[in-house]
Amino acid sequence: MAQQQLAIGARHEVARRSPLQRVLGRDWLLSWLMVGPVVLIVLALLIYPFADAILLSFQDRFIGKAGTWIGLDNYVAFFNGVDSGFGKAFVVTFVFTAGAILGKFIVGMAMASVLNQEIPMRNIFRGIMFLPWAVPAVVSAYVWRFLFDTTGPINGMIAEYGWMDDYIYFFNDARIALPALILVTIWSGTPFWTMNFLAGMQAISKELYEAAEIDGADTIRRFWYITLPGLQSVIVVTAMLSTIWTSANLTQIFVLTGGGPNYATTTLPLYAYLTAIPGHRLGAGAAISMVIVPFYMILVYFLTRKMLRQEQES
Amino acid sequence: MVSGVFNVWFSANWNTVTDEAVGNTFVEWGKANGGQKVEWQSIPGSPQLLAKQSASLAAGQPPEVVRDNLVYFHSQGEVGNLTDLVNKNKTQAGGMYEIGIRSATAGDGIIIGAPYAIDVWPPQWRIDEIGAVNNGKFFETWDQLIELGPKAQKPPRTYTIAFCLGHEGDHMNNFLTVAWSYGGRLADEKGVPDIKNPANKAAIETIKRMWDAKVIPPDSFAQTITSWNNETYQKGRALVAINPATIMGWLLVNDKELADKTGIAQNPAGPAGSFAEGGALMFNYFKKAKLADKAPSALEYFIQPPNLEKISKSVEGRFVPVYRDHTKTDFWQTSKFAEMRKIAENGRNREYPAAPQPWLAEVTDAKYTISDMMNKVINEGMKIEDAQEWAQKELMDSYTKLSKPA
Amino acid sequence: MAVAAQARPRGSSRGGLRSIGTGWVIATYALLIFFTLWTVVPFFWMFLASVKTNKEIYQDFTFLPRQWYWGHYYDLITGHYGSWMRNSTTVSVAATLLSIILGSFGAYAITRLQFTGRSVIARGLVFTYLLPASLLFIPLFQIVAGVGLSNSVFSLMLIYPSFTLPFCTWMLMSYFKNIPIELEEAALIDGCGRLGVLFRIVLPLAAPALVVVCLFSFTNAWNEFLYALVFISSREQQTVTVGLALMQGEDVFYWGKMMAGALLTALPPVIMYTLAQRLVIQGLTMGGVKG
Repeated sequence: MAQQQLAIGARHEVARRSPLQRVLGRDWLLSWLMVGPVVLIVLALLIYPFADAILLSFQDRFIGKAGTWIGLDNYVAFFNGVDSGFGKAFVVTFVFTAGAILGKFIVGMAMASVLNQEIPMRNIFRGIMFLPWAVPAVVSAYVWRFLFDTTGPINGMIAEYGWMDDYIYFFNDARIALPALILVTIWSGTPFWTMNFLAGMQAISKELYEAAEIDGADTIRRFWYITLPGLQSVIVVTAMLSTIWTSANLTQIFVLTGGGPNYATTTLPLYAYLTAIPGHRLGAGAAISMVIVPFYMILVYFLTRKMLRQEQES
Repeated sequence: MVSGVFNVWFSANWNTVTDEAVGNTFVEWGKANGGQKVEWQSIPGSPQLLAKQSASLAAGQPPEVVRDNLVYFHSQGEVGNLTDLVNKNKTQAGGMYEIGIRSATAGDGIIIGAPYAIDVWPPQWRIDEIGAVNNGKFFETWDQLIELGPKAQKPPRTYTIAFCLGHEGDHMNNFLTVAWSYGGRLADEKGVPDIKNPANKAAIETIKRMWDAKVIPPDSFAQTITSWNNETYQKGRALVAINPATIMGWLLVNDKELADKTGIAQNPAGPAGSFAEGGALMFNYFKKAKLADKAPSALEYFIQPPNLEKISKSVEGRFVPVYRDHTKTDFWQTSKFAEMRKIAENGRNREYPAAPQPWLAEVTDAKYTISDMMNKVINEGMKIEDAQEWAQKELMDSYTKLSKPA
Repeated sequence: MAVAAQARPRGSSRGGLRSIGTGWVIATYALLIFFTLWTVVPFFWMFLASVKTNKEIYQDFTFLPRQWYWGHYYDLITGHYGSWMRNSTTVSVAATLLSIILGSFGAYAITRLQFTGRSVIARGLVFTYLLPASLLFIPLFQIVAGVGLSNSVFSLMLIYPSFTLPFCTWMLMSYFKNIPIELEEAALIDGCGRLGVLFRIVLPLAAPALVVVCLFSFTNAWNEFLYALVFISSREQQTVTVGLALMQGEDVFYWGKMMAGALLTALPPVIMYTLAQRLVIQGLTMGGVKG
């Protein structure tokens, strides 16, 4: 019944549109009132510096001095000559980000599923699980550095109990350094995923689960056909934001490995930072930062297509 | 910045007592000079401080007095010319140590900092462990270190020397300490990079020999913070560390037992002798700061002997006082700290024989060229001459980008 | 439509754990133990380090301290730490409030209303994350200095929304999208205006989400470092993260103090979360919203 009334109403809506509405959209006035402040803040605080950074990437500019225009030279230099290492940094960025996101997704989903169950003292556990995120990234980086250190507890136990002959030099070996780094990122970043999934799971109606149970669906099928689809937009947005933040991660890489050993853990953002600030070259650093942007724009575009599609097309 | 406030920024000293001693001296100057309000801030970490200084400059609100990145900012023309001020004051209290003035003088002859202390890099060593294999003395030569170290150390628990090879600032000092002892150097008289100097080859070989003899902890290359060698020594894991006296200072406060077992010495010698790094800690001012015209007065007040003596005594042993008279005490003449005073008398800045260069900071703290060069030789098996060629290219790149033509 | 008809109080599925089979129950508890350990062990070490003397931290491996040392906490509390906490709180609360309010409006408009430029704006919000703070801070500081706000917590309150606002908006978009649109349409037909729908239907249903988003936004602001370092120059106005970084002077590391400081710093977000948990449960057991 309600459905039919809805359809009729919609058709009425279409007929009553003003020319302005046809151009600017049906709800343009209210929309701009609601979304206006957001747009304003973003424009002022981000677009201006963004534009500034784009212009910067075309200049040869040192900290403290005005810049001179050099066109695409920064980009060219980055891709071949003196600032080589692009290929490596690119691969590292990809591996690091992919590994971290995958890990966070799996752990986050598992944790959320567990915490969504009826377990005793559930709220306490939920509180505990939030802890890693509550600690500033730089501090968790130092803590893990301490844990992984040659004289830290892990190696301490190895020495004390004689599990191995020699210490594990976590950050000396490129093969261990990157996984160790990814582990730390997963540790500190997973709560974001867990809590979002939890909140999303709350919104899925219990009726659906009960109906499925009655129909004989087992746990896995219930998860696959009800939980996952119900979390779809939450997953998409969490993944999108987390991917961008994870790959932009500077503090933890800086503190744990400094990009080493031998640049095995240098991501593009870290490379850009090292060039811009300790390296004094703002222009070149800006150019390197710009290089990653197109990839993300494409990623974001496709990820958000479904989300932005509206349910009610008139 | 609140107008009417005179701002002093410096990178965090090794403890808050030092921060307070330095900062409050400026506050006193303010009080004695028309009640000028002075605010000081100690700022953590090196690239962050540069970031903060640059942002404040770009926004037209730099602080008045600063201590860091002076060589760089001088090359951009942003800091004051202190030649007259320093020359006027340097003869007091027995005169300032030469290294203090030399390391404050830029390539163009302009003095770019009012020196107030000399930072020196002596080896700090275990009298008990090393003395046991060397008649109570420290190693006299690098060869001796390589030969006797394995007798004193017990890997993997302890290693002989926490030699810095990783992507952190200390590597530059440790490398040059060896290089100088073989007659090698980083730059020539004009400040042009000279890493391919043949004398450096012997030094690189020696470091490789040290590595092969396993007297250096295996995780040295992976280190990224300057506190690594400090902590390695403080944990008892290394028997020697070449570092400013922050190690000794920490021990005196936190671990008296180990402090008593720690000696200060002269660096091991090579064929060309024994050398150590020394440099001035100094302040200058940003010309574009609001109260820049008051800065020279503040700086002059700061470096008056009685004020510096107060600071030096409050952090006794961390720096060598810049005025000779202040080192005539027992502490500097007969205690183990006398070794530091000796370094102040003939220490070198990193760019020796050239004056401080603006390209050094990038090479040391952003590109880690020397660390990478050692990595290529030791871990990638590159021929030493090839590694030197590579490093020379990298250094020249920084030199051309950051140096004004001679 | 059965879906929206009755909202049961959350967390009380019929049969609870029984409905998932014994094997899964065991797995659930095993995972729970594993995750708890994995989360807690680093904190355990942080705490141990915070109560050991500097000397003991460097000594050989021990679990419990040979002597319990509370000096690190004492030094912090009697030092500037209190005012740093205050500054951080002010800034984070302000940024979060602003972001959650404006973000709710924006998210609703983007997901439910039709207007030209909708997807451009939505995507544009995300694109703003593509540039790192390490590049933005110089022009941002120029803005701050230009309006005369440098060296005050107000500068941070102004600038933090630059990363908390897009975040809030997008997270809320994803939650709003999950709310069945039929509820709103029914209300609209009943004569409820758009704003009414937002306040009476969408926001209450999204309450758990609002809490989560607030929390993350607060924590992001709380843990921010670079802008706080650059924009603030007086010791009293500093935030907690910059203060923590000061536990490293030159080449000396004050582990004990830093770990103590870190634990203290983590407290406010954790306390907030615990309190928020209760509110959410309360709100939901009051019956939720009937469709």
